[in-house]
Amino acid sequence: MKTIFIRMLARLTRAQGLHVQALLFFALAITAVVFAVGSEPVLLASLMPGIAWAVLLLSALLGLGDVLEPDWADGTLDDMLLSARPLPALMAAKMLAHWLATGLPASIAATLCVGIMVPNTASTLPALFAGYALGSLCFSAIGIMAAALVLGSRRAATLLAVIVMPLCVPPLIFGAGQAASTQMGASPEAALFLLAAFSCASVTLAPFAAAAITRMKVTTP
Amino acid sequence: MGFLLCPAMHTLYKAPMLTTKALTIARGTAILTQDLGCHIDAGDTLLLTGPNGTGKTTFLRTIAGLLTPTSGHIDKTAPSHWIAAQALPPSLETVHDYLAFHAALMNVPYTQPRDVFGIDTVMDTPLYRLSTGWRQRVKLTRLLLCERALWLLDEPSDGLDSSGIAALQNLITAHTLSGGAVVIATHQPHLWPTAKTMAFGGQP
Repeated sequence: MKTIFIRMLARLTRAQGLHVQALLFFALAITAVVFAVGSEPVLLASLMPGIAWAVLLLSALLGLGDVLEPDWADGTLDDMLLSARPLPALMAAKMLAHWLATGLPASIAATLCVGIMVPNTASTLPALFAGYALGSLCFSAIGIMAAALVLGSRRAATLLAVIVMPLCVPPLIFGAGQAASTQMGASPEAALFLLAAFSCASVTLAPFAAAAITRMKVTTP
Repeated sequence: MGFLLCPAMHTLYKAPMLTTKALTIARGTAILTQDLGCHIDAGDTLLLTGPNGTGKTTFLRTIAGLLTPTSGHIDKTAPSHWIAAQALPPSLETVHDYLAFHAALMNVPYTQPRDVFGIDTVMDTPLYRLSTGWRQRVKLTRLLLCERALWLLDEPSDGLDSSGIAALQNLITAHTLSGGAVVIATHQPHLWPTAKTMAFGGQP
């Protein structure tokens, strides 16, 4: 399983440079927002945790087109279906590889952004990072299901966004709630626990859903 | 059961490997292939021939278990290797990594396979540096990663030069002599002159 996971991760990072794409996209999107709303420090400090959440969601969309589609095109997905390994386990590996390649770097970047732009936040950063990481894990889990759904369709990128965005609203709301309560000096625990619960559910269920969808997509003539 | 006790008869008995009966595969209302029946015993080579788009690959994928037939049934007694026609993409991964990945998918420990196709010298070369024919050799080497009785090959001779084709022919002969069976979809049936043939395509 280790060989399989490393190959999936290498295909996303070394071959497609997804981690660099995610970081670059994050930096550019945040910069664009700063130029658009102006560099008023007080305003930025209050907006930044929420903006980082929105950009995190957008950056999770980045690699989704590359997670299953190349395997579908070159026949690797066939081999995965016929594999001696359970397909949900292979999908879980795909999901984790996508999160490690996009979600984790973007979460780190988001935490750094907030740390730099919002004064006196050092103590809340660990909780904030946990929130970003859990949230992006949800995005990857929902994303792998959506990637399976759009396999083989033209305009996959647009479809992906349309499918993923609504499903990602709950973790986005929990995450934004956590960020807001942190800013008001309240305890972020409640929102963080809701986020953790949502990511537990999506991470365990999504691989099975993605496997079922993929199997249906491939075996239907 | 008397023949099992008689040694002479026993050597003549060939184990059935694959039987399909009245296999029909349809996409919506369009029938892709209809009423296909075939029977393969150990030691057989079956060629699927016919013009483009007549359902050879569809039939092979169905036997492999990748497509659900609309009606009819498949009786497969042995595990199979499926080698699709798609060429390997010229990716960054090395030949060794590619083969190790497929061994891991088959859940067998990876040991360097027998060097039937002469790829030992390129084991550490990334796939994008190899030509089409060499990538085809690498793809076919997957057959040697673990023993499986039934081989399902879609256009295996694509891109191979004469020495590659000779290696493929020898490999297939050795496999059938040792009790395996091979089904090949091909446009070059002359490469396997002694094989059984199943012709596709009454109408396109």
